[in-house]
Formats: sequence, C-alpha cells, structure tokens
Amino acid sequence: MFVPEKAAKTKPSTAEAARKSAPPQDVLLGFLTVIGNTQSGLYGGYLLINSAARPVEFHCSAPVQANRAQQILYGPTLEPYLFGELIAATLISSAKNRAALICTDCAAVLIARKGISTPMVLVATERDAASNEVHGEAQPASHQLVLTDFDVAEKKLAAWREFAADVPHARSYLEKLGSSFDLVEPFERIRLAIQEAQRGAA
Amino acid sequence: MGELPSRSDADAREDDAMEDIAPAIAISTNSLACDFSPPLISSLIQNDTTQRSSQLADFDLQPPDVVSIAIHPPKIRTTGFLVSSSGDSLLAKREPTVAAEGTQSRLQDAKQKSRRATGRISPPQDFIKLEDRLLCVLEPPVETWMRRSEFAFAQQPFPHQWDGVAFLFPRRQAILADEMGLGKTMQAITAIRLLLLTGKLRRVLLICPKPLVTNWQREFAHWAAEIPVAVVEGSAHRRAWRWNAELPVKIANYELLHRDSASLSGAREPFDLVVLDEAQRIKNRRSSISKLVRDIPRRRSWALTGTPVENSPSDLVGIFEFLSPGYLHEEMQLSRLGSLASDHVLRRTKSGVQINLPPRLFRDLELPLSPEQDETYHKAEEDGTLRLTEMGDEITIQHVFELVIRLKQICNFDPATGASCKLERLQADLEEIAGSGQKAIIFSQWVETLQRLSRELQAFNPLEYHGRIPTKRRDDILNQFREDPKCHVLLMSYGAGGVGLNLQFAQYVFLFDRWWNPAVEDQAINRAHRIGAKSPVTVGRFLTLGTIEERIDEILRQKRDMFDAVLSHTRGCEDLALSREEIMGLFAIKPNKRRDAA
Repeated sequence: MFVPEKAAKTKPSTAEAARKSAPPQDVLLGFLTVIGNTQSGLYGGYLLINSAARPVEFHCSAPVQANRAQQILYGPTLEPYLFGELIAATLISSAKNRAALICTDCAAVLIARKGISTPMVLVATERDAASNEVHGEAQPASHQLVLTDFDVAEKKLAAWREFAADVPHARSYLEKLGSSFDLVEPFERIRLAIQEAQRGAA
Repeated sequence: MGELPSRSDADAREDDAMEDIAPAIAISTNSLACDFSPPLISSLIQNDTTQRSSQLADFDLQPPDVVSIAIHPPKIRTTGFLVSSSGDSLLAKREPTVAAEGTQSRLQDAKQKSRRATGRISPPQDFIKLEDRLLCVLEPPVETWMRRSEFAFAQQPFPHQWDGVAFLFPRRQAILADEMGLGKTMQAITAIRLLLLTGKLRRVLLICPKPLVTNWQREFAHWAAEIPVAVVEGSAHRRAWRWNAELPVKIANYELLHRDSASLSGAREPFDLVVLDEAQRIKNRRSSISKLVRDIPRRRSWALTGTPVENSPSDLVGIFEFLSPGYLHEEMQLSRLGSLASDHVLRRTKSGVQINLPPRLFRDLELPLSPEQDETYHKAEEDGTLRLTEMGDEITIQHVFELVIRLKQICNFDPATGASCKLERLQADLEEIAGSGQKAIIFSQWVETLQRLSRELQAFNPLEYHGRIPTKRRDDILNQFREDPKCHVLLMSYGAGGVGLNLQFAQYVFLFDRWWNPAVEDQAINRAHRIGAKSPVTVGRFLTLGTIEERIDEILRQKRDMFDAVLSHTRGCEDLALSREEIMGLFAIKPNKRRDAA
C-alpha cells in the first residue's frame, strides 16, 4: 500500500538533537561560477552553503549572449563585464542570504568585488597562477592577482591587488572550517545543477 | 571564458527590442567617414591641394551627422530558491570523528585528502520537478556530508558504500543488490541515519528473517548508536506495545507478520520507510508473506538482497511488486525489464569495487566414493531408475526428486556402514586447519548430516547452527565460535546460516553437499568472505565422481554465470535452478508433459 511522500510532521530524535545543539545562525560561504556554452550562451550559478557543506540557497542565471555589436565595442573588457558586472553581480544581489566569503573559479568574476563589500577570492589552479605571471603586468595594477598557497587540493587563493586583504580574510575563515573542507567540490555541484536546469528547460 | 557566441537573428531582434529602453553610448562620425566609398578616396588622392582648400571652405557649412548605437547590456534573468532548513547546519564544527587508530588513522586521513569525496547524490528518474532534481545535485557528496557532521563512524566506510548510501537516500523505491559481503546493512543504516537527520523520516520498519534480528540490532548499535531501535517480539501484549512505541526504528521478522498483520495494515499512520532484508523471500508474489508486506502502509520501500534473481527474472518482478506494484511484468522482454529496473537497482560485485578484500580460493574436492558407498549407490540408482521407468505415465517430478535426494545422501554417508569418502578428506583437512589455529564453516542441506558430522568431528569441538537449534541459543553459538580458540568448526545448514551472518573470522568454508542453486551456495560462502575478512577464504566444494552430484554440478556450472544477466542486460537469461527437463534428464527419463502441466 503506497502513501504519497510528504514531510514528516515532527522531526526524528536525531534531527531534534542536531537542532538543539546548533548555534542560532551559521556563517555561509558563497560559490559562484560561470560556464560558457557557444550554443546557448553563458550561465552563471551561485550556491550558498553552510559549514556542513550543505546547500542553503541557489541561484542560476538564464543564458546570456553578447551580440556582435557588444563583442566589438566591449572588446577585451567584454568577458569581465559579462562574468563579473552582469552575471555575478546579478546573482549575488538575488540571494536572500549574505555570504561571509565568496569563492569563484573564474578570474573574470572578480570584477564583481568592486560593487560589493563581501570578500571575494579566486580558487586558483597552478595554471591560473602561471597565467597571472605572464599576463598580470598587462593589467592595471589594481587588477593584478595576489596569490597565496592554500592547502586544499593543491589550490591557491587569489584576489585583486586592490582587494588584497580578502586573501588573508578568506584564509583565516577557511582554516576555521578545517582541512576536510573541499573548496573545489561545490563548483562541481553548480555545474551539475546548471546542466540539470538546462536539461529541464530543453 | 569560453568562445563568445556568434551573432544570430535572435540577437538582432533583441537589439531592436532594446533600443527604446537602454541608455545609449553615442559614437560620433563625420560626413567624410560616412562617404568613405572607393571613388571618393581615389579622387582625393588624385586631386591637388587647391581642391582640398576649396572643400575646407565648405566644411563649416556641413554640421556632422551623428549616428547613435546603443550598447545594451544583455538581458539577464535568474531563478533560484532557498533550501529548507535541514537542521544540521551547525553540526559541522569539528573534524570527522572516525575512530582514531594512531598512525593508521592519520595515513587514512591523508589519503582522504588526496582523493575526491564519493557518494554524490543523483536525482532518480522519477523526480520530475526541477527543484527536486536540483535539491539532489546541490547536496554535497554523502562522504563530505557525513565527514563534516559530528556523527561518529565505527570504521571508515568504503567508497562503494558511500555511493550506496547516495543511491538509497533520494529513492522511494530501491533495491540494493550488492554481492554478499559488501556491507548492505551498513549502507541501509547510514541512509536511514541521514534521512532521519534531515527530517525526511520519522517511522521506519525493518523486516528481516528471524535469526538476523539480533544481527541488525548489533549493526544499528555499531553504525548509528544514537538511533533508538525497538525489536518487535514476545507476547501479543508486548508486541502491541512495541508497535505503538514512539521510536524511530522498529525491527520485526517475517514470521511475525502473519500474527500481526491486522495491526500493521490497519495502522493509523503509514511508515515513512519499510526495508526488507533478504528480500528474495518475497520473490514469489503469490506467497502470503509477499502479500503481507505489500499491505503495509508506507511511503518509501527498499529491498536488500544479494540475490535479486535466484531462479529466474520473475524473482525480480516479485520484489518489484513490493516496491512499485505493476511496474514490471513477467511477460516483459528481458531488455525492457532490465531497462525499467535499472534506475531502482544498484548491484556491485566484490571484483568491481575498490576494496582490498583477500581472495576467495576455490578447491573442488573431487573424490571417488568409498567401496561401501559405491556399492550402495549403484544399487540404489539402478533400483530407483527401474522403478521410475516402471511408473510410466504416473511418474512426477516429485518421484525423481526423492531418488535424487536418496542418492545425494549416500554420497555423504553410506547408510549401512557409515563410510564416507568426504568425511575422511574433511578430517584430514581439519587436522591442518585446527593445527594452525584457524576456523572452518561446514555447510550441508541436511540436519542429520550435520549431526552425524558433529559426532565424527568431536576432536575439533564442533558447534551446530541449524533449524533445530532454538533461536535464543544461536547468538551464543556464534559468539562461542568467534571467541573460543578451541572451537574450530561450525556446522551450518544452508537454510539457517546461509544469509545475513558475519563470520569473516573463518578462513575455510566447506560445502559438504551441494545446494540446488549456485546463488544459495554463494550466500553461504560469503558469510566468511566479506568486508572485515583479513585473510583469504578457501572454499572446498565436495563432489563425488561418477555420481548424481557430478551431473548436477555440470548443469549448475553452465548456469552460474547467468546470475547477473538481468541486471547487466548483456545476454539472455533462463531459469537458474534446475528445470523439470533437467531434473528428469539426470536419469535419462523424458518428462511426462501431462502430469507436469497438472
């Protein structure tokens, strides 16, 4: 005999015990990424998670495409504009909760930091770091990345020189979460969620 | 950033629509630029300076045209949602509390860091709403989730176990069909634990064979000590009290359901989850036990079994009648059946998962009958075959079975003299096993055989575990076998000891006589060969040459590999147990179609 699934009326003792022991409010961590797709445009995803790595809030953007005029006239500034000022800024402003720290794996998203007070860091790969060494000098000084090693999956943390203080802030916050906190995995969730949303829209 | 998208008609339409509303960035052009056609350029090159001065004179009279091109920001729309509070947000304030074991633990922790977490939750196919699907993919991998929780684990689970938990967690109908010994119990308990933690479950009923009730109690205490468990047993009054107890998990045995069916099916509130252990018990959907479990009101249904297909694909259909009535039919083509079942069934084998389980070594102990056995055997076979032939049209499968059983028993012991080629070999092997301080489990399908072996093997302090041993005593027997260094032998029947028990401290398994179905033999062998086994498990399969055992083994060998066919969809599947034709064929007798049909 089947009965439709519904939320249990009262929580089980395990969950009750969990809530009783929980402090009133958790500090949230934001993960923001943009994935590109030449066919359907650029999609952004913003995931807020708690310190248990569980999702609290999620937002994704509909596909964004720059038309030919925009591509020509924005030139090299198009990418940071679309990723940072347009997609990232919109997603961050859509969130109901405020993150204590925002992590991204797209360097172009960092431009969104100019419009917000929340610290923002790039979870950089070795390749990002090398690229910064090669191309960094061509950027305005304020836009050059300040890199620091961080012992999670051989990643580095980076921020714009203009917001260099974000790196030690992030480092101290992340260290409190413990070495088992995976800084890369949440981006994978965002990508899977965007793919799921794309499939749903198809 | 990826390659920028090319301009399309849609872009052009968007431009048109947005020109009215967006602020424009004006770009000035002068009239010359507007007229930059090749004839004009060539004329400018060819003309002398006087012509240019005359044009300059006119310039003041021509105000420049202005063409404005709007740089519209691309439109952006977002969708999002808040995830409802799950109550565990602040459980994760400290590092994982896996039982520390010094250096071993630190090494394990280092390994954990270097590999990605396992147990990612994927939405089941029957999740239609996008939000439900997103809620699945947005959860962290189960391993991450549990490692960051403050709930302890007695041992570090294996990656395949995290994946199993992630499989069960979102599913309303699921069969966990891992090969025996891969930890189905732990996976089910951890999934229940997570669902209780997130408030998705409140009332769970677990049904298992009676001898396994204490095993489940132990496993709950081991893997989820914080979850209170009530075992439904005892007098009617006591059981009624237990059924009504406000405890999250209740454990009942299959046999009990007959007596308590009224109070179960008439329950005011459905169970949030009903789990069937050793779910092959309900493979026959017409059986009373199958009907009883189907009548239990519930929201989620899970089945645990190492042998979802014991005899034929219809076994799987029978289990699905509990999960989702009518979802599968026996008439379905095998490929269709496998395809429909695939999203609800998870099966892994020991060879397919990354665990360092010691190997399982098979030894076929092929022996000639002793002279006494040989004489008795051939006389019985000749007499029996003659009698069957004389029966003509009256012969039934039952008559043939009786002869088969009689002959198999002679292969064990000569009824007149007690001579046994198998016993002689077994005693020789046990001398060596006991001498090295190791332990062996001996399986037979007959209690009489086990009792006889018990008498003959007194030197090894044998213990008996079969249907004639009261249930209350069975746990003590297993504990004694585990802990008493003088007890080297456990004599078990396939029926009582074949499923659910953890005996991984035994290094030897002997199949004194063979079961009709290879899946049941595998169940028996896997009591010893399972997670936790620290040394190889040697399996001795007795087989007397030139006898009915050899003929049965030949047929079963051909069928052994078919076990996974339904789940792997790689090839066709026939009945795995012996068919009527095959049983009749053991004695070169043609089946009587009229009688068999009846």
